[in-house]
Amino acid sequence: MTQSVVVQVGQCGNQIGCRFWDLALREHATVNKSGIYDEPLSSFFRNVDSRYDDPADIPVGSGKGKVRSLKARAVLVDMEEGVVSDIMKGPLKDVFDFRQLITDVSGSGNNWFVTAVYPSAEDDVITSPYNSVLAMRELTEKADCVLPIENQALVDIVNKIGQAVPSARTGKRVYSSVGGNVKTGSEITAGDGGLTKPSDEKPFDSMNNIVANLLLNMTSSARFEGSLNVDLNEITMNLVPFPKLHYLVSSQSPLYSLTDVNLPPRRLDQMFSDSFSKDHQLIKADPKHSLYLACALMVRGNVEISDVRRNIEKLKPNLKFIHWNQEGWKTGLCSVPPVGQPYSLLTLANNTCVHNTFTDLKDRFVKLYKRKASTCITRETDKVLSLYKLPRRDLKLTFTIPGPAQAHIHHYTDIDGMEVSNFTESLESLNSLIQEYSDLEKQMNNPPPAEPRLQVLS
Amino acid sequence: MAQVKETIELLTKVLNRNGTSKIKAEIFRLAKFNDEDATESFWKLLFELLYFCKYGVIDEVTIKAYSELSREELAVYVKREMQALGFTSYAFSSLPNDMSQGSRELLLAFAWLLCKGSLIDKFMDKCASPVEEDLSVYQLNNLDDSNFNNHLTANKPLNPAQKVQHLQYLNGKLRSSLRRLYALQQQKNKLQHKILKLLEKDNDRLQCMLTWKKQEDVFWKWMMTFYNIPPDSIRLMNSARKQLEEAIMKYESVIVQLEEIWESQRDGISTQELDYLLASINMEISLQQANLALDDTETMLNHRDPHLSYIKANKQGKKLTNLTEPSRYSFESKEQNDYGVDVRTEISQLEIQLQRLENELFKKQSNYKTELDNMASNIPDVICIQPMSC
Amino acid sequence: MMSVITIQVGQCGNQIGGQLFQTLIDDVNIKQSQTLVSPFKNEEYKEEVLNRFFTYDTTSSELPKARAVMVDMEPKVIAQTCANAQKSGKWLYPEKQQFCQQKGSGNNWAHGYCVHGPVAQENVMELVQREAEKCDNVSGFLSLLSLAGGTGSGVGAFISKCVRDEFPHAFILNQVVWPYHTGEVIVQNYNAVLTLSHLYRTADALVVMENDSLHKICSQLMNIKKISFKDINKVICHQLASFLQPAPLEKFPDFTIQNTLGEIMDHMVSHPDYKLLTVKNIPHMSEKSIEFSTFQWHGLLKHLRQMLIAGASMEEGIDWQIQVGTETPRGSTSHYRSLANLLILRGKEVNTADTSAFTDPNIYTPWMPTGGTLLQGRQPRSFYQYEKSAVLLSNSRSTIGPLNTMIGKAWNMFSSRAYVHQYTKHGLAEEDFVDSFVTLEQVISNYSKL
Repeated sequence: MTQSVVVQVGQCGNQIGCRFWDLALREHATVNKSGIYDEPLSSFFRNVDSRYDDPADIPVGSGKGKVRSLKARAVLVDMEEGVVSDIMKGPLKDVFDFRQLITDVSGSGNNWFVTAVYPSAEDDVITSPYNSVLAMRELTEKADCVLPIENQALVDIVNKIGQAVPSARTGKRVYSSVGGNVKTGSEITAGDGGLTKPSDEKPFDSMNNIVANLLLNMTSSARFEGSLNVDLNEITMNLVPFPKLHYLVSSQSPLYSLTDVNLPPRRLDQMFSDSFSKDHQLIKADPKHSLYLACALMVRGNVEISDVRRNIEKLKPNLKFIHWNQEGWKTGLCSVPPVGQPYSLLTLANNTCVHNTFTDLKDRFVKLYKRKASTCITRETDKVLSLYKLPRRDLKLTFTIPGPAQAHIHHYTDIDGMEVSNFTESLESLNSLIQEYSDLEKQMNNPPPAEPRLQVLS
Repeated sequence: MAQVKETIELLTKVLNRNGTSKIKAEIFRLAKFNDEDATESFWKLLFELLYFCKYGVIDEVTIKAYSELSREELAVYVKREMQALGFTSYAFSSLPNDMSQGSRELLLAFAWLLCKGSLIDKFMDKCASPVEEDLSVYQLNNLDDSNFNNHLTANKPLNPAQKVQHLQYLNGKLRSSLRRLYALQQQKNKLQHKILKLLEKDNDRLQCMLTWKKQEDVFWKWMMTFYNIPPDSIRLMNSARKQLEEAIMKYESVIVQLEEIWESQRDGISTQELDYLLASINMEISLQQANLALDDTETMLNHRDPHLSYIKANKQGKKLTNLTEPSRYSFESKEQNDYGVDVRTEISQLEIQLQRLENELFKKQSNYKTELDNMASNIPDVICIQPMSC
Repeated sequence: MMSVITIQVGQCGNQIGGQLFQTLIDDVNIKQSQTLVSPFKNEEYKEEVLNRFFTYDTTSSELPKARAVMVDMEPKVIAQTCANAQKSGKWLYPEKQQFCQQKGSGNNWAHGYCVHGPVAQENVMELVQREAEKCDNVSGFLSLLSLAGGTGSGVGAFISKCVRDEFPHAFILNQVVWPYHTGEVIVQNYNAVLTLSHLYRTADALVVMENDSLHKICSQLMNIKKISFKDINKVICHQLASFLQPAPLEKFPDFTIQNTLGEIMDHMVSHPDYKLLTVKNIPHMSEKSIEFSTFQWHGLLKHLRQMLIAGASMEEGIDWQIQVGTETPRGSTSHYRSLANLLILRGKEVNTADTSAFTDPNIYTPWMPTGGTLLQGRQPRSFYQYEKSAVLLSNSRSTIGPLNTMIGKAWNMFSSRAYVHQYTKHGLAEEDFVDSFVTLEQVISNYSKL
C-alpha cells in the first residue's frame, strides 16, 4: 500500500495534525491488538528501533515484526517554535522524531493534498484575506487537491453535537490561515494538541477532532483492507476533471467529537442522506443547488456494494450532475469501521458551489487592497508629530503619494521575494478560478449540444 | 602402474554412472594394503551394490537407508547379503561390525561380487530401458474427405461484402490452424528433446562399460598381485584339488562299505576285530599321506586325517556314521612336523574311544544277559543259552 | 496435456483468480455420487483439470499449485488472495510468482500503461516464462482484469501486449469485467475504452462479463440479499469454469477432441474483426436449492436458445417475443445473430439431449459456413453439483449494446476534455484517445452488420 507523509504546517496545521495522529493511533490500536507492525500501520507510521543513537527504520518485511516504537510519517513545519515545542512536550512526543521538525519548507510533493482552514467573515486578523488569497494561488497552481474547511462550519457542527455535551464551549472563534511563503500573522487561542481528558477539553479541540476524523476516513482505505480500495491518488484522479478545479466539499456522517462516540448508530440509509445535508458539511456552501462535477463516497464498515448502489439511486434525482458526468460517482469500501461505530461515510464532492466561497474571499481581499492610503498616512503623520512633540491640529501637511497606497502591504513587501505583483497575480488567479467554476455552473440548466460520435464509413 | 590406476578410475566411473557414490581410485590402492581409511568407503560401496542386486536400482532410498542405519546394522546386512549370494569367506564374515578395519577383505569381497554377481551385465540391462513418461499422442483418424468439404463452404450465395467476410474467416481459420500446429510442433520438440537426453545418458553409460570390458584384464591382474602366488600354482592347486576329490570319493566308498559291514556284523564283532579294522585303516591313511607328502614337498598343502568318529548309538541300535570332511585347504604355510603329531594324537584318541566302546559293550552284554535270564525265569519251559562271545 | 497459464492483474483480476482456482478445485472434489460417472472416469477428469490449471506432483504429498502469475501495484490484495488459498487447505499459489509494487495506479489507465507497465515488464515476463517452462505444453493464456480500475486495465493491457510479443503463436483469452454503469469509478469509461481498444489488437478473444448482469443473477436467481463483490466473483468463476473444465468436443462426426483453449479459440474467433465473447450459463441456483431441483434438457436448451437470440444474460426476464425472423432488405434482423457458438452440456443423459435448435442457420450470420457455426461438447461428468448444466459461449451481436452506451458516455466526457489532463500527465496524448475511439467504433460497426 502506498505510504504517505503528512506535512503539518503552522500552528493550526500542527494542532489538527496532532488530533489526527492521536486518533489514528487509537484506531490502529483497536484493529491491531497484537502490536504487529503490518502493512496498514506502515502506510502512516514508521517502525523505528530507537536503541540506536541514530534511530534506524525497520521495514515491514514479512509483516510479522512487533512494533518497536512508532514514529509518524509526518513533517512538522512552523516558523515559530512555540506550538511545535508544545507538542514535543505533550503526550504524543514519542510519536514524533526530532529530526522531523523543520522550519523551512521546500515543497515539491508528488501529490499535494491539502486540508486548508479558511477564515470566516469576521476575524481579528486584519490581513487574513491577504494570507488566504496568496495561499490560494499557490494551492491552485501547485496542489493536486484541496479540501477547504471553514471554521464557521466546524463551529456549527460542534454546537449541534454540543447540545448533548455540556462542556462544549461556543462562541470562541478560532481562525488561522495556511502559511505559504508568508510569515504567518495569525493568532490562535491557546491550547496544546495531545491526548486530553474530557475535563481538559478546549473548544477548538472538538473542531480539530472533526477535521482529524475526516483525514482518518479519507485515508482508511489506504490503511486497511476492503473490497474496493481507494487511495489518495484515486481520489484525486476521479474528482479532479480539470487541473485547477480541485477544491472539494467534504461532509461526514456520523459526526464526531472527542467524547461523543456514544452517539446512537444511524441506520445505514440514513447515514447516506445525512451526509448530503448541509449540516454535515465542513464548508458553508450549498451543493444541492449547484452543479456536481464529481462525487466520491468513502464508506467504512460492514457495507456492501449493493447498499451503496441503492443509496446512489435514491439520491441521484435530487442532485444535479454535469452533463458529461451524469454517473459521476466514485465508491470506496473499507471493511474496518471507525472506532466505536459500525460504519461511517465520508463524502467528497467537486461542486461548483465553492465559487461562492471564493467570491466572498475575493471581495474581502479587494476591500482591503483598495483602501485608501489616508488611514495609513494619518498614522505615519501622528508618529512624526509625536516625535517632534507637535500637536496634530497645527499641522497642515499634505503628502502626495504616487498611486493608491495599499494598506499593510509593506508588512509583506518588506520580506525578500515578495513583491506587489504577487498580489495582483494572486488576485487574477482567484478570479479565473471563480470564472471557471461559474462557467461550468451555467451549463447546469442548458447543457451544450453533444459532439457527434465518430462515424465509420461503410 | 599408471594403467592400473586408469583402469580403476574407469571402474569407479562406471560404478558412479550407475548410481553408486563417488569413490576414488586411491581407495582401492589403500585397500590392497588393508589401510583403515579405505574401510568405510568399501562398506558403503558394497552396501550400494548389494542393494542394486536386490532391488535393481540405486536411488535416494538407498542413500537415505545408508545414512539412517547404524554401522552395525549395515555391516550385518552386507555380510548377510554376501552370504546369501554365496560368498562364504570366513575372514570376511569375521570382520568387526563397527566398520573399523578390513578393507582388504572388503576389496576382495567387492571383486568377487563384481565377477560373480555379474554387475556389469546387470548395469547394461538397465540401460536399454524405454522412456518411462506417458506420452499423450495425438491421433488423427482417417478423416473422410467429405467432412472437409461441407465444413467450410458457405451454404448460400453471398454478395461481395459477405464474400469478403467469408474469406477473412477462412483466412483466420487457416492462421489459427497453423498456430495450433506450431504448438504441437513445440510439444513434439520438447518431448524429443527429453528422449534424446535420456538416450544420451544411456549411451554414455554403455560407452563406459564397453571401455571397461576392454580393460578389465588389467584390474584382475592387479587383484591377483594380492597373493604373490607363483604362476603355475593354479595348476598345482587344481590338480591337488582333483586328487583330494578322488581321495574323498575313495574314502567315501570305503566308509559306506564299513557301515554295511558294521550293520550286518555289529553283534558279531569283537574287540580284536575292531582293533584290526582300525589298524588297517590307519595304515591305509598313512600310506596315502606318505604318497601325498612325497608328491608335493614344496607345496604348503596341509590336511588332516579324515576324522573318523563313531557316535554312540541309542538303544534301538541305529547307527550314524559321521564323516567330517577334511577341513579346508588353507594357504597359510604350516610346518611339516605337525603332520606327525596329528597322527599320534589321532591314534591315542582312537584307542581311548576303543576302550570306551569295549566297556560299553561289556556293560551291554551283561545287561542283556541278566535280561535274558529274567525272561527265561519268567517263562516256564524256556532256557537261556548264552551267546558265544561271553 | 494442454496447460493454461492464468495472469491475474489488479484488485479485481486477483480476486477473481483466487476464486477461479477455488471453484475448479471445489468442482473436482465433489462427492463421487454426485459426479454421475464411474470413479475411473472421475479420476480421469480430475487429472485433466489438475494438469491443465495446476502444477501437480503425483508422487509427493504437496498440494497442487496454481499455474498463475499475480500482478498488482499494491500488495494488500495479492497477500489476501494467497492467504485465502492457503486457508482452503486444498491448493496453493506457487511461491515467488507474484509481482507487486507499493504505489497503486490511482484508477489512471495512463499511469498503469505508460508508467507501471514498462517498469513491471521484465519481472512479470520472467515470471510468465518460468510458469511456461513448468508446462509440457502451453495451451494458452487466460488473463483476468477489470476495465474500470487503473492497474487491471492499464497494466493488464500492457502485459497482454508483452505476452503477445513474446509468445506470438499462443492463444490469449482475456476475461474482462465490465463495471456497473454507475458508481464504481468515475473515469471508468475512459479506462474501458482505452483498455478494450488496446486488448483488441493483441488478444485473440475477450470474454466480457458485466457487473450489472451478474448482479441481477445474484439477486434474482440466487436470492442473495446483500450482494458483495465476492458473490459476483463466484458467479464469474462459475461461468468461466463451465467452459474451461474438460469436455470432449465433437469436431466431426465420430471424432472428438478435448476442449483446449486452442480449439475453443479456433472455433470462436477465427475472424480477426470479431473478438467479443459472452458466456450464458444455465441453470444458476443458490446452493440450497440445487439438490431439490431437477431439469429436463429440453427446457434448459429452450431457455438457452432464447437467451441467445434475445440477448438476455440470464434465464429470467427473457423476452420471448423476439423470434428468429427473416432479414430485412437492409440485411438486419430483429433477433441477435451470432457468428459462432460453443455449446457444452454436462451431466446426466447428455447424449440424449437434442441440440438441433442451435444449428438453425437463421440464427447465424449468412457468410458463416455451416461447419463453423456450432461446436458442441458433451461431458457426462457433472459440473459442480448440478445434475444437468449447459453453457453457451457466444460471439454475437448482443455484446455491443453495453459497448455502445459506454463509448457514448466516454465520448461525451472527452468532448469537454474532462479528466484528460490526468492521463496526459502520464504520457498519453489526446490522439491516443481518439485512436481508441476509432478502433471501438469500428468494432461496433462490424458487429452491427452481423
